[in-house]
Amino acid sequence: MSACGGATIRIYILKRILVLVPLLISVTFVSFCLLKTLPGDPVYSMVGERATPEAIESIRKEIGSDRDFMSQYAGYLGLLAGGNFGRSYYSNRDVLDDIAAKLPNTMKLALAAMAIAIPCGLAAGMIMAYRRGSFIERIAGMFTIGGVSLPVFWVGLMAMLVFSLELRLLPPSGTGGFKFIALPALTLAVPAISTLARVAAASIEESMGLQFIRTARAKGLSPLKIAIFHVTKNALIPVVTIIGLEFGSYLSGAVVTETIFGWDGIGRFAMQGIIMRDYPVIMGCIITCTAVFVVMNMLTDIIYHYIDPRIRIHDGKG
Amino acid sequence: MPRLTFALFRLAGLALLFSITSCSPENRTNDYLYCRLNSNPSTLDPALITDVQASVVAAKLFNGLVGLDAGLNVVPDIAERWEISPDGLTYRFRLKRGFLFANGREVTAHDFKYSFERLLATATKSPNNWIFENVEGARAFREGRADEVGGLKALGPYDFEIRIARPFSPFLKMLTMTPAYVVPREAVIAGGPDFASHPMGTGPYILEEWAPNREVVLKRNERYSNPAAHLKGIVFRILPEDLTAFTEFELGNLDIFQIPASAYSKLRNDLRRKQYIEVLPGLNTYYLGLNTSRPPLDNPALRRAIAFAIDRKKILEKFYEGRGRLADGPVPDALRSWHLDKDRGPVEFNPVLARQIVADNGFSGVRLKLYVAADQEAVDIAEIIQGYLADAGLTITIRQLEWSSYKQAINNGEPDMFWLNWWADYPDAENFLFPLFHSANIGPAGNRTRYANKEVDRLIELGQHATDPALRNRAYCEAEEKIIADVPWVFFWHKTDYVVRQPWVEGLKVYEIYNMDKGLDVSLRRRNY
Amino acid sequence: MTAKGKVYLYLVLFMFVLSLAAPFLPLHKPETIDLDSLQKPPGFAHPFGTDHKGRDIFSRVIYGAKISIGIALTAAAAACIIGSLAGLAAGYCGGMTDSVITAVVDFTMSFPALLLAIAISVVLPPGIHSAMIALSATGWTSFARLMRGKVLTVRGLSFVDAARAAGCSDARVLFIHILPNCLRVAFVMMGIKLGGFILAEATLGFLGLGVQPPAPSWGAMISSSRAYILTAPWTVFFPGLMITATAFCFNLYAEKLKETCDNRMP
Repeated sequence: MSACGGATIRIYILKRILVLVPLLISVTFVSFCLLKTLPGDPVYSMVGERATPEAIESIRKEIGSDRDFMSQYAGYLGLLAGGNFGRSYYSNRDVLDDIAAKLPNTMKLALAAMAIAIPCGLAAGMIMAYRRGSFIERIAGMFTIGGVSLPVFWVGLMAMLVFSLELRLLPPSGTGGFKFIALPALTLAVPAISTLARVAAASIEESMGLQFIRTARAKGLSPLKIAIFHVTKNALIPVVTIIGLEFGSYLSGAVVTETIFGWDGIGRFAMQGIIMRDYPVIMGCIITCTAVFVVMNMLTDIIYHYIDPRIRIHDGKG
Repeated sequence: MPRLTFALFRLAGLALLFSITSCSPENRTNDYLYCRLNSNPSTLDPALITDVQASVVAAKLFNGLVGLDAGLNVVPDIAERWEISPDGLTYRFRLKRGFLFANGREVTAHDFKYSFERLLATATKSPNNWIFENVEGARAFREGRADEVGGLKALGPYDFEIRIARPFSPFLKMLTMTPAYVVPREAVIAGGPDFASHPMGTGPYILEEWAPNREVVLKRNERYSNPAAHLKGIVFRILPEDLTAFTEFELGNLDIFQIPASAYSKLRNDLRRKQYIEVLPGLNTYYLGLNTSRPPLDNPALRRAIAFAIDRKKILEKFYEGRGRLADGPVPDALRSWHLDKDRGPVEFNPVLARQIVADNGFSGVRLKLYVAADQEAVDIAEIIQGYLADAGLTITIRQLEWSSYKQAINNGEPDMFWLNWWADYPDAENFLFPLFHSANIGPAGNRTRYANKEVDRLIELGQHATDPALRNRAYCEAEEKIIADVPWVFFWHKTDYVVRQPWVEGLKVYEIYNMDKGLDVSLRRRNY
Repeated sequence: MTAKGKVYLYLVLFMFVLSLAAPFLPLHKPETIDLDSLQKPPGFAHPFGTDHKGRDIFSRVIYGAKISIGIALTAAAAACIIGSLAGLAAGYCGGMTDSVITAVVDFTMSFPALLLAIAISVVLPPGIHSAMIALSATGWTSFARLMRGKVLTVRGLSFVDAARAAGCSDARVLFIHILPNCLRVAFVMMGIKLGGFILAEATLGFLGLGVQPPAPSWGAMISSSRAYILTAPWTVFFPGLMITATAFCFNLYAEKLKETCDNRMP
């Protein structure tokens, strides 16, 4: 499988990258349309509380919002082709530079959250699946259900009140190293742990009922061997999916956590852009998130390919 | 397109690299003052600044011709003294010698000419160019009919003259505003659009780093001696959540903290903190704007009924915990140099009268749209207003919009009512009359209730252009009384702010206007973690 | 269905019905502002206390059930149906269908969900419906991805080949043989999403979208009081408790429901 598989994978990656370009273009188009249907003219946020109509008109001209849709869009594509995202309407800062500074923070937070969530989630999932009906399974079950039932900002606020205000162990906000990342990562990891554990448990249990596991059992393989080599490996597919999903959602969806803990990530940056109607910022964030997301999906698919030979990355035909 | 793909890859590469290597300093820097900003400053180019956050920072980086003292009087800044001609048209400034930009070059009158012309130039796209619209030749320059503004003259390296077209009483005070700061031409040209994020000025501090949404770090300008700052630097942490900021303050990670509504009673009742709270009666007016341009609120009777129906005093005392002074009119007391005849408009809460007016004029059950920005306090007050107006027989629908949509809606006169506030940009009553009630400013220029009263227009203009202070006060007084009688706003209160400091912060002073604090008063006694 | 599973569903439904009947119950009006009793701790007159505008939290919590549970239920059902169908089609048909659906899913997911929600809430008149649509529009993709992954696994199993060899039509193979095997993950997801949507509704409320004031939704109650968590913790605690309890019931119900699928497993 390896030689042939390697070639397929390479073709597959190439194809996905080729698809990326039209995907990004269509993303820019749709987002552009969306932005234009949003009420809230950026000019009004730019000029503050007091501005002459004349000043408003000249700013409109400057940012090109007086032109028609297609020529604005063409202008934006031209900008992209030049390899940059343009400058923020407000701060005049280069959007690409700002994204390049914020994306790593978001990645770092997502990775940290995953580093907590994956081992905890899988361990809890295995316990729940292999110790079905036991006391410990019930406890784990309750905790995982509790984990997805708590509002994220509630977890965040509580974590901050307990660990920062009361115990004075960790700083409540800031962007930086381990000390700062601990609380937001924990907050993000709580629902992820629960989701992972439950999906892993469901999937492992299901695998145990499958034909080939029964066969393996009938053949007299040791339960541990079955658990590790057959069941778990087989149960990984939905788990990998969930990991991919959660990771993807952290890229733009960690706004609340980032706001509470003052974490300087791309979610807050995008949110700020949306509130201020800073089109270059919004577009830049959308394009970046899309690209990262597509790459994430590609990785997920490649992992599928390696952990389950039944799911081959094939070229197009079912 | 390949370049874009390349850019994305570069980005991904950078991302990976950063996530492995980046590790910012985790502790506080010694002798730096830590403060909070609610939101990211939008820009640090004085010509473009319209938000309070940016002005707070810019005040430390730049200077203007004149400044304000604690009594809100105009005092020298870069200008050492000035003369105004008897006809009120010519302002002549003598600049201090040896006032340096951060790059070591001396500030001259030419820099002011450049900075002010830059503000007016269309290419700068400054929303603040109205400051100089009265300057002689400004219009011709903006319309491209002249290469320079005739009314701005550098008479010598230290002599600067401004000629205005008509006597204009608030002009000198307007020169204290953020957009009127002086900028060095060479840095603006070299920086291009990056000047907004890497500004350079004359101020007591220099920008060390600005990480948007994270922090703005300023360090002391060693060349500045007007007087020199005590602090080594200032760090503005950008913390949108009140609770987070409060926790940071409690942990000693913030040195001064403007108290948000939710922490007010807690800090007020905290015996350790109480003595460190400074009171700041701000120059602002909070109001319920009533759209006077279309039915049903074009009817003054209904507007009056609304004013009678709301118990502002109780809302202020109970909900607002007394953090303000009840407003009699648009102008804050500190700026009102005349005596108001209080019988001119509705002041007292009178629900019976309100209900009666509504019923008598056939307004019962009228539906009105009340727009608020999606800000918790605004929504809270809107809900309270809704309750009071329901008692008077009016049905209010609240619509909360996030800021950009909200501003577009109120600028275009979409809602029947809206909740808003106005903060002084310069300490003059004119700032609370002309932009807000003159019919020339309907819409984005400030008059969002679309109030148009020819008599009021005339009186405001009379006050603006009068050289005699007595005449000016009389005109403003009459204008304000007429406005109060017409009820385009329900005047709520002038908000009082409270700033709490840590015990180790010394010499803290609070100022009425956001750009008055240049970071020169405060010093830190001892580091405490 | 086990009796235990039903209990959780009944609990949530009871809340929902109670909330529908709330106008006929002897409760304070949820919108009535009382400036004389701000932030009163729980007591005899106000069992759950009052918020920073003097409104009775108990009655707001009861009235809020209608809004919060209603939004979550509708949105989750819509997201599940749309997402599962898309996922089934993608996983089973493969080829172009798969590519197109995967592209649409990727496309939707890669959008910052918030922007999408804002756009939807803005295009539609603000209110409960726009919140529902915004949530399902961003939520269906999870179902699609999960179902697709699951179908890919199940499709390769021998019983599917057998069914096909026996001459079953595609529709029959898909809905009779494959779908039941994929339902479990969908239900797990549904349980998760129901709770998630209750929480997501709160985030929308926080941005001023969705439910408009003064309508009481649990999420909006928390976000409007969250700054007072230190001085008046009950204003945050009770709506938070309701959210958590409801999400908990939904999740447990889904868990129990899952077990009933077992007899149809191979």
